[in-house]
Amino acid sequence: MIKAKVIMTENIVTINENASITEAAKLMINKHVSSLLVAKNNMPTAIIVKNDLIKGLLNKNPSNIEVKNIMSKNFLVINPNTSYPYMLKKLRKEHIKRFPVVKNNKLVGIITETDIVNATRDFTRFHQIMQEVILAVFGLVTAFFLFFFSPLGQSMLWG
Amino acid sequence: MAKISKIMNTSVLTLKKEAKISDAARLIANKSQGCVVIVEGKKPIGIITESDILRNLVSKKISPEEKVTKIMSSPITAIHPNTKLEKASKIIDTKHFKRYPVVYNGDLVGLVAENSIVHAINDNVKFHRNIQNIVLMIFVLFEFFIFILYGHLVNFPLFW
Repeated sequence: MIKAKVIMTENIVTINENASITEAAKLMINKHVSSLLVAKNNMPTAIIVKNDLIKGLLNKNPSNIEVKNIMSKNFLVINPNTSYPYMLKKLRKEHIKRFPVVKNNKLVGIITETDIVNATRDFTRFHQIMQEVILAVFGLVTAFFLFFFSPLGQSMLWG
Repeated sequence: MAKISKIMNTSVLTLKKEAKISDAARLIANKSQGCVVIVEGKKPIGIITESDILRNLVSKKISPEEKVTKIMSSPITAIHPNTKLEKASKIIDTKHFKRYPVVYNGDLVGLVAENSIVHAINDNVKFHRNIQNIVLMIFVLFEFFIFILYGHLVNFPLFW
């Protein structure tokens, strides 16, 4: 079973809740991430996503708004041994897109929708290859059986 | 194999090319969507995502009163609604975009995201694999049956 620690990203970009939203936006763009975690004592307390930032920037004085005014709590804390199907279920049924990974009360990584989608693609390819391998093996076995019971096979192998 | 028209999202946010960046930002923020498609009539000419807005407003200091055509990504990579999922997956592999407008006869009819294509293919593969397992099971039982029957008839040395 694939676990969270295999597909998680270990570089977590965090931000202070008192930072301004323009700082947050710059950080997000420079680090090429889709969300920033707000962490306190190495535990994730809140998250900001691009949509929240755009909402904040639409206000009259964007520079006065701090991260804590726009952050949300739409995430699910998991541990490194959480299974991949569990996360996939949460993503598809409950639309939770971000999973901070916490081990011994310490933030060690994050899994986002992109990680899960990439993992799904890899597994799909693996499944497709396995499917073809199984078909090939069964095809060979069937061919062997047919040969085995044919008159030619009888005389050559056990006649 | 399923087609794109089955999994596409038909409620796409659109804006005319005369709209301002602030309109696009407001639309994306209010509807909580990831992107807005810029259209001319019904023909899609560009796409603006959340990142485009953040990058241009904050880092490049472009005024929100500018036209959307200034920051939109153009030309777009469109997908036909009758494209099969496997073909769509190949398009994703070469283009590396996250969202693709679905265009039929030059008109925008929907939007399809990378993740919905990936999930749909995964479901399809799982379904096919289950069917395949059942068919293989029947074949194995059938082979075993023939094995026993034939063994009786010709005095098969392994069993008797």
